[in-house]
Amino acid sequence: MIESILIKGFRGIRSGQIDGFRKFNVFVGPNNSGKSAVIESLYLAGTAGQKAHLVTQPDQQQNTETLPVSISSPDLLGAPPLAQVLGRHNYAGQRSSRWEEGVIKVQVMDKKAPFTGFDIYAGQEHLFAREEEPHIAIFSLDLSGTEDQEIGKLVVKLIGQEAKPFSDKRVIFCWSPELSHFGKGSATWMIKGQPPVARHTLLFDTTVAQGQLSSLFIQEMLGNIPGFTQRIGQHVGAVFNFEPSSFNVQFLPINGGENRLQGWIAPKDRPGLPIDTFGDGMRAAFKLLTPLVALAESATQEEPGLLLWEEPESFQNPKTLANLLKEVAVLIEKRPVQVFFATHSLEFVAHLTLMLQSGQIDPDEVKLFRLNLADGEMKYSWFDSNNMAAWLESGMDPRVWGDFLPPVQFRLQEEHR
Amino acid sequence: MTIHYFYEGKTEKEVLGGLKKFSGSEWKPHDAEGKGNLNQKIVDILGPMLGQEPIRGLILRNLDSHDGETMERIVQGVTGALKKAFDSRKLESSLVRLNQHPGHNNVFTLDIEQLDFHLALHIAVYRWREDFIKSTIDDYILDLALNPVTAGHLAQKLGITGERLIHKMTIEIPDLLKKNGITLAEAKDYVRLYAAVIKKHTSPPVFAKKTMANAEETQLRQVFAPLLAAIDFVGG
Repeated sequence: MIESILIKGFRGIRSGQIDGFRKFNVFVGPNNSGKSAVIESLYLAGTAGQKAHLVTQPDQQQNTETLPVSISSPDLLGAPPLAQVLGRHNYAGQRSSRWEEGVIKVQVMDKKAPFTGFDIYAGQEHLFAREEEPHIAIFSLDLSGTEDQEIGKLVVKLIGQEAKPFSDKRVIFCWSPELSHFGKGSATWMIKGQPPVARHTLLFDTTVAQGQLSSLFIQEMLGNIPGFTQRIGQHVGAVFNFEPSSFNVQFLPINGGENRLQGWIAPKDRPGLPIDTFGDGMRAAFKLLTPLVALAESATQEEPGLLLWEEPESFQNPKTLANLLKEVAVLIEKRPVQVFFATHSLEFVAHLTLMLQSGQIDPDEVKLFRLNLADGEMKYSWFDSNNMAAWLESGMDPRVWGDFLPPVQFRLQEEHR
Repeated sequence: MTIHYFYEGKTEKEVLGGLKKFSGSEWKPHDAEGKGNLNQKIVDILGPMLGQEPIRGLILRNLDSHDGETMERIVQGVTGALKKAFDSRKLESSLVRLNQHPGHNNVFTLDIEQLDFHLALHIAVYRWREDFIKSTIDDYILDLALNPVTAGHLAQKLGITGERLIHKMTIEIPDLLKKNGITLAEAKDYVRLYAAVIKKHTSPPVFAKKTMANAEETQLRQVFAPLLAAIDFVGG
């Protein structure tokens, strides 16, 4: 489980640190407070899984070093993580490197960065394809009690003395100007704790909710997870109050094509319909629950899972939102899956608090972080289950502080006491 | 700036309601529903704000000496809870030190400049009658209600004078009850009786509200001088 994150120069965050993550973590805060940036930095850290080699000072004959690093690897849905993150900001790709005979040659724009020029090799038996190059802009170093003094020095250069002691940490260096603070050209961040593996990491946002699930992913899960479609049906049924035995979940080729599959809901007594013909809330729930069933099934203690869920309230009626949150909690209960939510919804926070009060989620597994970003410095305050309940019962709003009062306020009912 | 005030019963809330007119601040009530939950409530509400934004807090406690409570123990309890909150948020807990107010020995204050954190603790220590089993905010209300001017206002509906009402409340009825083996052991007993006599069939908190509303400003300032000093400290 990821315990903390330290960020330097990633997107709007010039510097910031968050400690004390738990199984369920909620980020709230004003617009531009760093919520999405933290979600993205966790995603890129979690998906740094493809082994590669980094050669520093490649143009010099002497003092050249080769370091084992990891670069981005496809996530649970098979998506390339950097493309996902850049795509969220309407960037097609990063432009600080070039492809040369299967090697990525990087020139970091930030001349004050610990590295300004280096090569990345995929490995002795593999060369990078040219089209991979725009989607490679990070490397990570895993520190597991490393005794390697050179790596230690390098890590301190990258992130500072906070990297010590060198255990249970992953340091990420990013050379995409698009993702660095005011286009500076480099960013560094570090997570502490056991990271997930890339193929067990899911970033779920409104784009994924409205897109198509990868056919490769669906085919793999249909082959690997017994009763995959029935399990999806059970959870979808629970969210929308359908009797699970009254319909089937199917995945069928789109327009007869063999390479694209689409989810279908097929009632027993009527013709089936593609999921994308349903309302947005149903589509979003289906497209979350489908990979989550797979994630809950495949995550292990050695290869844990990570769900990063942005704006869970999007498209959802309050009742559906409550049901969906409950199903997510049911799905990953006692499974090695960590969840991070970023939300603007007080209702979402209230639903979660009620679940804590009623014992549906262990209070020790939840923490809410209220982020704030001022002049690039990210600060936070945290709320445990007691803080959350006390604030909501008092009609206080953890999302907005100061003199602003939302026009509509509500108070948590103490129905479970 | 909002002042968060924490109390163990609804009468305290009404008392604060009656004193708000002397303050220009916004007030946010937090009912702990009993003294046992009060320190936890303080930590639950104020904890997330520590070091993040200015905090103004006021705590209202009763000295329940019949339960073995002392002012020192109450101060220790509040201090301990706050220190725990500071520790959990990696703040210097040695900064948490409540000092006795120079003018009122039942008011304790905390001022942590670097966190812009001002907090006052008011302990109701007054007993309207020395043989009462405990001191509560109701003793102050009773004192106020037995002031001739306040009593005069409250007695209007009965068509009697304030002095007559006070005589009934302090001599006639207690003596009658005593002859029947019934003892009035605490201020709340008197308050309930008072409400019945003036035909206000209300709870002690509502009686407190009516009494506050019928009292004159000089009387309020005199009876609640320590509490007003605590309010003044937190910027009210």
